[in-house]
Amino acid sequence: MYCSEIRDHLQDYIDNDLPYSIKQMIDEHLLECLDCHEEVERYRKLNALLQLRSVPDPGPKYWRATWKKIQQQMPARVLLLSASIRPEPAASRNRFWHHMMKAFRPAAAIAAAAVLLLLAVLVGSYHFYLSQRAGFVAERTVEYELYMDDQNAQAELTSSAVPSDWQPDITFAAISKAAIGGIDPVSKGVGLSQVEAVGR
Amino acid sequence: MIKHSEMPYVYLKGMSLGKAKILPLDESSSRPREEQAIDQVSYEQIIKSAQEGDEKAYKEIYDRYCRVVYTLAFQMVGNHTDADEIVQETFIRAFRNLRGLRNSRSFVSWLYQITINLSIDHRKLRMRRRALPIDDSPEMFAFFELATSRSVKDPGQVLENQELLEQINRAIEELPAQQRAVILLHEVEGLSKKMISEILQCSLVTVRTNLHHARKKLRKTLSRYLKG
Ligand SMILES: [Zn+2]
Repeated sequence: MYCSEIRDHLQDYIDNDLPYSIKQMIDEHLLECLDCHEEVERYRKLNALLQLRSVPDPGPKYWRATWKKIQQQMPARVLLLSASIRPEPAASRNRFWHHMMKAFRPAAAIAAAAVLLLLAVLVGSYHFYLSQRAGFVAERTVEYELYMDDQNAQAELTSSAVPSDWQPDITFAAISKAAIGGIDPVSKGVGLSQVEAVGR
Repeated sequence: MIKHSEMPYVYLKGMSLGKAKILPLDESSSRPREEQAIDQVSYEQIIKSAQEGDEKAYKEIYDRYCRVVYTLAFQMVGNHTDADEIVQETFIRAFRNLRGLRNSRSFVSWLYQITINLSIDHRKLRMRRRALPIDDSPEMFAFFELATSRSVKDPGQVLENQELLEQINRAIEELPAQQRAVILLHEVEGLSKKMISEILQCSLVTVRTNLHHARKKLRKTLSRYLKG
């Protein structure tokens, strides 16, 4: 192999991405060629230089404060979604009145019971209506808030957050989409063998 | 075992997924395997609970990943103020969209994805607003500190290190966004190319090409520090 060919493979070489046969050839070449050997060393040094970057930890106070800020900005509606608002099942109410009827066994009480039953049905169905309505309203509210959320996210993306004349580059447009829309991002990608094929 | 909270600095190597490709949650590859397995189970449970709206699960997710997100954002934008905004925005967006995430295993790469994406947008926005490169701002490098400078006693050496670090940061800043993302994720975060291709939603070939271009550029810009 010529030096120029070796150079084409050096990055894959330091990344351990080469098939064994090519790796071996490069190993042998590096023992003989000082120039290529130094080239490898430069890449390794570069790697070490990049590792020097460290990021200071802002500390526990910062993390607590940031969580509070996130909570404040996090709409309760996300949590609300899980709290299911269901009307009380009608069956339990019926059972209640069934017991009441049992308690008033004497025939004389039948008339009174009839009146009570009528009342019960009226009150019961009114309650049922109210709870149904409450559930419906709550559902609408959640839906509306989610809708507004989407609208806000869209507006954020298209107006204030990004200048109108700015065009995302093609590859990163996909990422934007995933971040805003919550799309499962895992793509299949290509197999490593293909990368190796390109490398060769 | 060193806990993250006990670390004076957020070191990227220990923080992130590392070179390990097995577990999506491998934030500390030094920990015993059984412990990681337990983490793996509870990790998916936590994501699921959060998807069901459990508030405690949100907090748990934040506690686990806030440092990872912050570090990555800081690496991308180079200052605390922007990184801080990105951290908040990342978690808010992640929580809002969590229900749409079908595979809870892909949560971490998804979180990285949001962070990287916001970092790129943020930087572009800043640059437009200021109409000058962000690295001209004085606070730019204030938060970066050379890892070795603490152990070095000689003030001259510290200064030299500081200068070197500024050069490194500037060189990284000059890279196109995608190349910067790839090299940071690969060299500093230690992620595999496969993982990066998932995060950036591009092919492995694209990851490799970007990485190689980035290295070549950095090698040129930093050539005087790379001499034998
Ligand atoms: Zn050679």
